[in-house]
Order: sequence, then structure tokens, then C-alpha cells
Amino acid sequence: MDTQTKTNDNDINDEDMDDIFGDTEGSYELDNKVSLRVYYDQYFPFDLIYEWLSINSLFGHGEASQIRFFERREFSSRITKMDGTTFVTRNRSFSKLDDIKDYLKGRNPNNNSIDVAERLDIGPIYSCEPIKKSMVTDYTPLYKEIVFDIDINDYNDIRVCCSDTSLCMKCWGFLAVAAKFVEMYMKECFGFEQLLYVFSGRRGLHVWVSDQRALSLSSEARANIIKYVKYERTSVLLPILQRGFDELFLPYFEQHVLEEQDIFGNAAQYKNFLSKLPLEVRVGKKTIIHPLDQIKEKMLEIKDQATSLEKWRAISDYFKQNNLMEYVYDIVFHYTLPRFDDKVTNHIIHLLKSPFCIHPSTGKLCVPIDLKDIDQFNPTKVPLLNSILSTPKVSFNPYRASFKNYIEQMKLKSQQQISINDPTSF
Amino acid sequence: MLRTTNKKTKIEEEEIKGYNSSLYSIVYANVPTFECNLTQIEHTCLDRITLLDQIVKLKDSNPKGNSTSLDVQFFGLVTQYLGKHEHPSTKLKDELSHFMCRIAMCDSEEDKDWFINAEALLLNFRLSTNDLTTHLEQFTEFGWSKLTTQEFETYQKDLEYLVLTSNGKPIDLDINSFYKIPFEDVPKLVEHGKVVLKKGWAIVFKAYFRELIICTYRNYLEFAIEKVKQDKARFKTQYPEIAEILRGITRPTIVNSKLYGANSSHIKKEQIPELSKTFPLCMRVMHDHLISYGKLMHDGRLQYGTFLKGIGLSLDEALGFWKNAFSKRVTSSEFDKEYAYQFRHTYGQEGKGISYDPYSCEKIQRTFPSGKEQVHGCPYLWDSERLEKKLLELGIDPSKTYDIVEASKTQSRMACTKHFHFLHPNNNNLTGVINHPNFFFEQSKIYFKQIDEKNKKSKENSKNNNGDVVLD
Repeated sequence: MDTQTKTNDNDINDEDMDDIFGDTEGSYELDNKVSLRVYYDQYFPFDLIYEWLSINSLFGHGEASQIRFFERREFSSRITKMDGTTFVTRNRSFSKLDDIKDYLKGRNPNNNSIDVAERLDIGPIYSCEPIKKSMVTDYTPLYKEIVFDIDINDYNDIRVCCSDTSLCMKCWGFLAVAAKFVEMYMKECFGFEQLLYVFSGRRGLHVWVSDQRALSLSSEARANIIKYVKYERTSVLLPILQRGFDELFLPYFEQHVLEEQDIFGNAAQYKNFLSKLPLEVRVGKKTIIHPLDQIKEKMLEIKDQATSLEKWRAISDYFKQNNLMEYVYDIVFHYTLPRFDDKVTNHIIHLLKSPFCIHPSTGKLCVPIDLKDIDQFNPTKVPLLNSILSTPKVSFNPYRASFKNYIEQMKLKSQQQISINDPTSF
Repeated sequence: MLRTTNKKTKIEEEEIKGYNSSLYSIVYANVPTFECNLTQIEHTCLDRITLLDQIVKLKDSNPKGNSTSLDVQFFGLVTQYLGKHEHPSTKLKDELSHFMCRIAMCDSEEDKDWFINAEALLLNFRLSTNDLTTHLEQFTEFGWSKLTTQEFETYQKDLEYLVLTSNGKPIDLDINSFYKIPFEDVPKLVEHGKVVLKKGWAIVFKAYFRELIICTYRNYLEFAIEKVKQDKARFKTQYPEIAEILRGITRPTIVNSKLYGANSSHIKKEQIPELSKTFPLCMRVMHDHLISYGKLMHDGRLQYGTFLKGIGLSLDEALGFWKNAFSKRVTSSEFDKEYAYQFRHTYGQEGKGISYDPYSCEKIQRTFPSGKEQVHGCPYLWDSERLEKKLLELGIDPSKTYDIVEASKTQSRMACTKHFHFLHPNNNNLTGVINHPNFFFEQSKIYFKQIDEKNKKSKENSKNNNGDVVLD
């Protein structure tokens, strides 16, 4: 289809767009558009999204500050018209919930030219309302949740169950272990507690950290959060990586990756695995050993009689005996350490798809996920737009209820934090 | 804070009225009160600027750091410009000039950065000869604190990690060997994994206390100067005489972007491909990317565009150059609609009409963090593998590449300078360190001009010789 991109904003052009948005492909059939309109009208939880984005207002306490915080939030959307023209609207902001609803539903209710929004993207809070951007001289992004975006196609070189952007329960495991690590990392190292995990509708997982201190971090601090847990070969791990290794990464690697991704059975996978082994290493002053050759030999010896796990244990024992633990870390981290899309986290102005959007190309609902259920989550069984409209009780209400529950928890935590920070409040 | 009198020009011990030197701190945490006169202000400020300039040069000439001879030179400088250490007037001069320079340097980002950098160097030198522990107590008011006994016990294992990775001894596992500080305040230490993070605190081992002090000090200065800036208008109306004096206090102009802003020599767009071969690496990388992919992101266009402007590319030529470079992807009319605006803006033809100066290294590194796949920013901040690949690709021999990559790990500008020397063998004009892409280019121009002249001379000589032969 011949698409043309127009934007309402002089400062942004298509290259920068690609940089700020995530995936942007997909088009909409008329039927879907009608359904989507009904979805926005009757189901999309605007009230909860509002609460979620404004509970931790940094403009003071109370309802008024919440509204002010919400008003300055940038929203954006992408609208494909019937003639194939795609419009991107940036720098939108809303002061009433009904306004967003009207905006998403689009302005022309006749069937031939519905300009319903395909998705809703959430940006940062600016120093003034984004719709008034052109009227002020000082327009700067102030606050935003810390966000992490992990896409499964960044794992393509190490997975065999799926390819490209498809995602099954097996490779979901990569994202699940990433999520668990983010939880551990955020809680232990930063004391952050308000984390929301959202399936992005097709190939990824989003994490939103909404604690007040998280909202006000600089871009530099955000980038450092990512850099801090980047692994470089070492035999002494940073404590948080050591904990991650012991409790999450090694168990996941041994119990799932080895078998599910067929590390020793699949020729390409095995070749990749071997390429992670060092050719020669100096141990002590005079001895040089040749791990790659020695391990290859060992593997030939125990061929077929051993399970994947036994083969792996033989390899890791070999390194341990030679006091070369760093190579065990190299391998395990290569297969398990979260592969974040760094720029989504680093750039405070980056936009990210809102929870409860319908993914434009898969039609799947972007559902929040409770971390304790994350291992059982099945990305292929996520409600589709049509099923939401036909059977909302099964396909929608439980998700709404769990999001609502999450927000209640958030409120409690925020109150606790206020009482800790401000001794006069109680 | 300050009253001025007009009688004396030299600050002598007995003349200090109301100055309490016991409040003096090497990080200038307290604003002093005393009487002095305008000339004293001017003199001490000029001295301080010269001192800072000398310190920066001293450091640049010895990028590796802390030899004792350097310390000796440093103390020579301090004594020369501030006075003898034990003399109370030295402290007064030090404080007076520091606080005044804050006001003088607050207006432009470049001045401010230069000042903060230089002041941080000054502090770094001072700390290297002092016992750190005597200074640590001062920092509790900057948000540092000691660990509680409970924290010390709970985090035992993590603390062991810090001691172990900093080559400490078991005896260092002591509650006084650690401080904690909000992690946002020590970005560099976090970035390089030199601290343990706990509930939003960065726990720092004593091996990094000096870095920590410098880092805290920089943040504090940044914050303090921002405050001064906000207050400057009031200061000007309240103390017009001082404001007038401070107007004359300027940063030494070795790296003056303005110098490169309006270039008198003209170059044509057709010359760029040839010239690009001796561009600094940052520009070369962007140029190559632009030519092969027909695109460059907004920040890259700004960084490369202002550089080209600085070397003498006029707006018309620039528009032609970019349009041609983009022609792989965008038609001429699309270019006019989507991109031309930015270039006219850069040349001051749109918007507020401000003409943009080329970016200095400092500004490039500050404004354009070098991301994984992005081509703008400073390539010497890339990870070593990528840098190495690019250098080899440009045909730099492996040993030289190794040299440059190694230098980039500690000193990006040294690495750039090495690259310059590689591109310009036997060059004896450039003695300092590259600190501005346009400085790189200007030096390159001088180098080739000299070679041209040499060649002309030798040609003339050989012509004359030929002539001689014919005559014979």
C-alpha cells in the first residue's frame, strides 16, 4: 500500500519518528475500525489509565495536582485513513477523560471515512501542556516513568522455536526471566515498588516503573540504570548480577534454555554455543589450555548418552576446575540477560504504547501481567479485539479488574511513601 | 554578602575587615563576608582565571595524571596567583575570586562548563596532597552519610565485593571505609559499576572518595551557578559597578566557537568529499554514513551542519550539499519541505534568527551522548570494538589503531589528537590537544598549505635546475 506520512509538527520528521516510536507497521480494515470504535467507546479503561498516570503527581497532593499532572502528559497517536494516508499526531494532551475518548474514536462517524486512532502512545510530562507547546518558549520534558522495552526479535540469534517477530510460550520465557530480573533489580537497588508489566501485543514486554523518584530521573540516570547491569567478562560479579545469576539466570538456563532452544541438538545452535568458548586461555604463568578443543573432544566422548543438562554440567565443571568461572558467566548471560531496547529507557521523550491498546497488526489486547503469573502467561492466547466485543466477561473484565487491583496497591504504597517522607502527614 | 570600599588595592592580612578564615572550605561551601574594594575584585578574578587556565594546560600536557613533578608545578602556580598557603589573605583571595568568577562565568554554557571543569581540576590537585579524611565530614551536608551499623551488617557481602574489586585489604572492611549517597549524584561511578546500589543509595568505598568528592563538587557548582544565573539581573541592578568589572573577566579563548562561527574562507560543496578524508573522526563518521545511507538524524545534521558552516560552507552551498546527499531517499521538493528549514535555522535564517556556532568537543560530548548505533556524538566514547573497526576500515594500520583505541579509554581528546597526527605525519604545528572539531580542521588546513608551499618551492627549484641544464 502506498502510504504517506504527514505530521502536525514541524520539528519532527519521519526518521526521528522511527526513533521515538517503536514498531509502526500495520493497517486497518474497515470492520476492525468499527470494532475499535466500539472498544474505545465501551471498554478502554480511561479512568484507570488516568489514575495510573497521575497518582504519583509531583505537583503536590490531591485531586487538583493529579489533574495538572495529567494535563501536561504528552499523548500521541497514529491514524490511518481509508485512502491509506497515515497521520501521526504528536504533542496531544487532554484535560478531560471524555476528550481522549473522543480523540481516539475519531471525528467522522460515517462509515466511509472513520479516522479512528490505531493506538495510543504515552510520553513524558512537560513543563506546560503539550497542546500549548507553540505558545511558550520553554517547553521541556520534566518527568516520566522509567520504562523498559524488551522485544523477542532481539533474541533471534539464540532461539529456534520461533523466528522474526513471532512469540510462543517457549520464547516468552526469555521475557519472563527478564521481567523477574527487572523486579529484583528495581526493588533491591533502587527501592522502587510500583512496577507494571504489560504484554505489548505482539513481540515484547513493557515494564513501567511509576514511583515518584523514578518519575523525576534524568536521562543520564536512566541510561546508567541500564549500563550498571551490562555484563562484561569478569570472575567477580556485581552483587545484583550474582544474585540474578544464582536465583534466576542459571536455573532458567539449565531448566529451560538448554532443552527448549535445543542448544546441543540443533546444528546451528551448537555452532553458536561453541563460538562462545575461548580458543585458548592462559592459566598460571606457563600453562596455556585450549578449552574449545578440549570441550569438543569431551562432547564427542559422551555423545548421545548424556542429557543436555549433563553435557552442560560437564562444560561448566571444566571451567570451574580451571578457575575460569568468567566463561560460565559469559555463556549463561549470553542466553539469559535481558536484552533491553536501550533507547526506549534512555530517552525521556520516547513514547510507549499504552496498556489496553489493541495492537494494530495482531489485533491483540495489550494486557497487564501479574508477575507471579508471568511464567504461565501465554502470548498466543491473548484476547483479540473481536473476542473482547463478543465475550467481554471472559476476555476483558478480568484484565480490567487486575489493573484496577494494581492501581489500588499503588495508592497504598504511595500513601506509605508519603508518610515516610513527610513526618507531619500522619 | 559584600560591601565595597575604594581605598586600597592590595589585600594584606591586617586590612581584612570582618573576614573569618575559619569558615573557609576548599569546596567553597560558605559565602564569606568582608569588605574589599573594586580593584581588589578585579585583580583577584583575573589572577584566578589565569591560574585556572594554567592548571587546565598543565593537565592537558600530562593527560596521564598524577606525578609528583606535576604537583610541584601546581603548587608553584597556586602560590604565584593566590599567595602562600599559610597566609590568611590567601584564603580570602581564594574565596573572593571563586565566588566572583561564579558570577562572571554563569551566562554562557561554555563559560560555565569551562569554569566547572577547571575548578574541579583545581580541587583534584588540592586533594591529591591532602589527607582526604579531614575533608569528608564537610560533605554530610551534600547528602552523603555513613552507613548505619545495621546496614553495615546486612550488606556485609556487597561491601566485601567493593573491597575486593578495588584491591582493598580485608582490614578495609570497616564501617568508616564506606559512605552512601543518592545514586543520581554519582552518575560516573554508577555507570562504571564502581558502587553497590541499595534502595536508591550508592555505597562508595574509600578508594573512590576522591572521585566522589569531585563528583559531588561538580554537581554542587553546577547547581550553585544555576542559582547565580537566575539571580544575575538583580545583582546587576544592585551592584552595577561590580557587574561592569565582571564583564571584563572572560574565559581564556583558546577554544572559542565564535572564532569558527563566521569563517572567511569559502569552500564549495564539491570539495567536501575530498576534504572529508582529513576531517576529525566524528565528522568523518557522519559524512560516510550520510553518503552511504543518504540520511543523518536530527542531532547529526546539527553537529555536522554547524561544522561545515564553520569551515566555510555558505547556506546555499550547504542546501545543495544536503539535498544531494539526501537524494537517495527524498525528492528535491520533499527536502525543501521537510529538511531545508533546519539548515536555514542553523544559519540564522529562521526562528529566532540566531546563527549556530560549531560545537566544541566538550559540547558534543555533553549534548550528544554516543549511543550504540548512532553516528553523531564523539566516536572516541564508543565501545572499543566499534571504534577499532571503524579505524581499521579507514585504513589506519593496526598498531596505530591500537594506540588510538587505548588512548580513547581514558582521554577521548588525546585519542583524537593521535588520529590527527596519524593523518598529518611530521606535523609540527599542533602542539596542544584537539578540543574542537573545527580546530582540527584549521590545523589540517595549515598543514596542507605548508606542504603545498614546500612542494612549490621544490618545483621552482627543480625548474631552475632544468633551466640551468638547458643553458648548459
